Amino acid sequence: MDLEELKEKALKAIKDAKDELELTNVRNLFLSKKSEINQKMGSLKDLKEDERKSLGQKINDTRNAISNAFSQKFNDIKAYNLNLKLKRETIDISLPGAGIKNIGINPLYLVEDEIINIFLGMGYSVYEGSDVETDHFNFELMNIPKDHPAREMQDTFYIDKTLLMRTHTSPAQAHAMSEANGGPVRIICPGKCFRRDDDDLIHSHQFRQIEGLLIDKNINIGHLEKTLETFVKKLFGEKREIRMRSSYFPFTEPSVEVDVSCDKCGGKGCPVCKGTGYLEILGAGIVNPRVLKLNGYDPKEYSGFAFGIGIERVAILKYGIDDIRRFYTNDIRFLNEFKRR
Amino acid sequence: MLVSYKWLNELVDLHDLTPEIIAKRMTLAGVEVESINKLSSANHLVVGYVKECELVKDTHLHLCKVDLGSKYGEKQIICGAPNVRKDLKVIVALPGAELPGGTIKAATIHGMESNGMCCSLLELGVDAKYVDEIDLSGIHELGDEFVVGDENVLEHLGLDDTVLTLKLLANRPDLLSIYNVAKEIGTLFNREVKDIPIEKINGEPVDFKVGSETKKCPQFSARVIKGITVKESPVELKKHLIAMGVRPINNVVDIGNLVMLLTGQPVHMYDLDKLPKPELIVKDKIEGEFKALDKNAYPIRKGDLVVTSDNRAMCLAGIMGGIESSDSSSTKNIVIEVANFNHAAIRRTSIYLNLISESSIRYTHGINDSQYVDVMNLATSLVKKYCGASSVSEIITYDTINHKEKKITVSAKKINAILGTNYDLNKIMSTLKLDHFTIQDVKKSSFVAIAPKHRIDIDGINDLAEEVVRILGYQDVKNELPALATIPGVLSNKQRKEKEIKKYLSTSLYQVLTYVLVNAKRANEFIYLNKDKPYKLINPMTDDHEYVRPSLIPSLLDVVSYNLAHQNKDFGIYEISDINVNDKKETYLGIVLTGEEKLQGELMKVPYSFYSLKGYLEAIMSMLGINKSRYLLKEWDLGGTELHPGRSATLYLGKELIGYLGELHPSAYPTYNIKNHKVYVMEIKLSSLLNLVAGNEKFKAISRFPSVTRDLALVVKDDVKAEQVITIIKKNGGVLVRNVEVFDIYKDENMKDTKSVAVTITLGKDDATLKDQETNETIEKIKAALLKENISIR
Repeated sequence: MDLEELKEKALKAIKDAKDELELTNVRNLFLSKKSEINQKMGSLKDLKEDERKSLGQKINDTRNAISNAFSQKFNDIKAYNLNLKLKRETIDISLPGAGIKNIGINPLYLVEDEIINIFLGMGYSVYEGSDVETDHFNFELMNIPKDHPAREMQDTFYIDKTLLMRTHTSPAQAHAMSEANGGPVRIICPGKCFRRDDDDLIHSHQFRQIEGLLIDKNINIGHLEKTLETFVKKLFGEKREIRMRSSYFPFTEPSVEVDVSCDKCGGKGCPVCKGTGYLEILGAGIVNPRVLKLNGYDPKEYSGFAFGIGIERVAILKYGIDDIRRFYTNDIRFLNEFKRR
Repeated sequence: MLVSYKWLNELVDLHDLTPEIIAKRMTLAGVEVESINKLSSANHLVVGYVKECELVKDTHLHLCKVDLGSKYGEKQIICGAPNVRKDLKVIVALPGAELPGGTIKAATIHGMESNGMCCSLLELGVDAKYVDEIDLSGIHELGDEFVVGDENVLEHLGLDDTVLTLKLLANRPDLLSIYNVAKEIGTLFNREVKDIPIEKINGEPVDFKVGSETKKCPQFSARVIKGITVKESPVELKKHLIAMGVRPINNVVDIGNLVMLLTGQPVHMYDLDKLPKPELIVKDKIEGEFKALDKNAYPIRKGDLVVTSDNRAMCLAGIMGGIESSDSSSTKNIVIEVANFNHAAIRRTSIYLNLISESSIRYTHGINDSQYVDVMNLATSLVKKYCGASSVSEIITYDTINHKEKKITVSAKKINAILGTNYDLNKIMSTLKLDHFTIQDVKKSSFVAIAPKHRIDIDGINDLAEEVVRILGYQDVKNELPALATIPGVLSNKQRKEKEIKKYLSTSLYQVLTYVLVNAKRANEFIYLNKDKPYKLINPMTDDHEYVRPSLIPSLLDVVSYNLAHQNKDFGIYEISDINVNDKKETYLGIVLTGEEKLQGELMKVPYSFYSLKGYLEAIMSMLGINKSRYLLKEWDLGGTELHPGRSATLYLGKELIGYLGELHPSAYPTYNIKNHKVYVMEIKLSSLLNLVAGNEKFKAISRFPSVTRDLALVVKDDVKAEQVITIIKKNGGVLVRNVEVFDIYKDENMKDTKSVAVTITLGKDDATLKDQETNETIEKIKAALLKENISIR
């Protein structure tokens, strides 16, 4: 066979080889020591110098061509086989992911964290109070002396004559003021509160509040309104409006109830807001000068505002929850409806 | 406070104001109207006259022929009431009438036609407390004055009124008087309030003494009226009482109540002839039993205010009269009391006796102390008018009150500084005038405001600012954030750490929120971290919430129990909460795990175990930068039957026990109603950890030279802990030992009291590649040391 013929035959055989075994056989046939091409190479020594050189070059080229084709084919087969193997290893990507989950959480924590973040952004720090308080801090320093009718508004669990379960987070105001030593204060205090209520759809003997207190110079109702409006818009959305209504708390004067416009009707009035267009969310007011005095401030120099937000109330409005007791039952199915986002 | 719309209308013109309009305006101004109700919502009623009435055989029914006047003629009505009879005037609901119980239809009863219903007041929607015995068991019996065919029967019964329920806040006791409610409406709608004409009655001298032996009664007045007749009040009196929620009794008592509802000043009536002596003296040092008008006997203590005569309690002052001296149908001569009692004293007695009356409500909130003469004269006029009177005495008065006016200097600057408004002085002045304030000393930039006598809550400039803004509204308030120094709102270190821990735990555990108040049983469970007695409430609502919990674990176990009972299984929960015991407040973390942890949904689950808890503990310690050397887990040695003694541990920080973790003891499962599920609990005093100072991390060069690992399979006694084996290896292996870890524990029946522990030892050097010889020498040293400790190599 001449070289061209040999080359063609070899390339065809390589091309036709179906797997590694066949290819190895082809390789043995065309490139082994005993192969024709190597025999031809061996016969070169009998030729003259110049002939040997030119034929040798040709044989070499042919052998390289066959060898390259072989390598190429070999790689192709390997790649094909690997692909086949990988294909067989295909997994079901629809199965659940492993490891870290984002699990459900009691929505009161979600609401509380959100409110804390909003006020942190306005320069408030978080002050921690205590579930068990003294009558002095819970009532006296909040301008609710013994036998004040306002004590009836907050039916109290007593431990003894001086200790009680705090009925509101307001005593944190007195603690914070005493620590501030007559200087400015800007705090929020989240925490549990307790009142002698029978647990039902809308009442709970334990509930959560966030108290807010700002004391500085020249503070007025307008400052309070803007602060609470900022808070409400951040928490409920820019479209919501607030409305202030006169009210009464012993520790603020003037006192207001703050209502937020109804989400459902946008303030026109509907069954959700009982036709009023607004939903009650918190109580607030200008710190009563008596409270300032009781806590070591000169009301002529300092003024301030305070507010108390009911977390359950906000969570109920935000998520449309039907029964306050759900917060304290902790049914996993309920918790799974709420995730940290 | 219930307020009659019709009575209000007599005091201030409401012709263009519906109850709804009034309610909305008052609510915005700080007097919340909670509800608006009609006294009776019944319609299609007519006065009928029973012409014939026969009992239907074998039934309780009566077949009646009722004359309904010219418009409706005579109708046949079947009536089941026991008191229906011939010649009775009755209220008939015609077919189509809407009553609270439903719509009346013409019907056939026992085969007899019935065209309407004879009604009791109860059936018209009147509250049972205002109706008498007859109406409770039968139909209402109308008086002779009612005209047959009259369709305005509700009006003539005084039942066509609408009642507004006010939610009164503690600062507005004045609104416990309908006259002051009328004034409030006058202020809010800018209209005149009608004067109540008061007849000035001087009366004749009388031999009667009043007085007080305590400062808690600063004023007491009495008047004797003789020759009266006690009888039922006419509708014109009764209707006001009913609309305001007070049950009519008789004309004398009703007048007292009417005057109180009108003025806010309680009035009490005594039967003069039943007083042991012609005197009424207030004392607070009487003890014993007091028989009150409600027929109950109340124990009175020293300190309780009583009105006495001849040293005997005639009246529980300001709360309730006594049976002994109360008027009855035979009463001829009365004493009217108009007094002032200290709000705190009345409140204390009222709470102690659990006795609340219309009178005590007014005294505990505080009354207007300057109107008692007018009140006395008003009551006297009414007694003269409705009870007859042959003689009226002078007013005998004891009064130690300093009736001084409260003057407050007002400037526009002060008001605007509180409100953030820009009102001028005139605006403020006219608003306060409208609010019944008296204005004096008007200067260029200030004036003096004197609060109306009924506004006992007004006390300083902030109160006036509130009056201005609640009347004018909040629309003029300039709404802006306070211009203050910019300070960053940041969490404290402790708060930040706690937040990080919550974030970490919340990726795999549900964060729950449970009640702080628990029952006696739960308050005594899992109390390892607290030796002190838990706080106990002196006035719990129920046994279920009587103690301030000393541990989170019982609450969390109850949550697990609830969920397992509701088909929720395989989960973990945690709560971080303060625990208050004995003047200490500490933050605890509780974790409870049950069933299996889902590593990949239901496909891959690993049973929760002691080690799951330990994993959380180690992660938290690591997050807080607390090295393993700083805390210690010890085998359970606290006994009890709450935790599995072989699968639980205590956690120490130095000598302080700050936590525990482990598997629930088999005997503890029934306590929580948990069956067929394993439960693991951990409780840590988190605050002890949050307050620790952690060292700063520091860079250490990583060795460039390769390390070598060698595995050893060891046979050790069952009671030897892995940690002990590792310690021996590290101690004896020397500096070349970089790390030792257990990678297998094996045990089978043939191994008796031993187990196989396989460890992998990592060796290395910082400055050179380890030589084989060095490695081998180290391993041999380790083996020798282990053998010495009776640990053999397999």
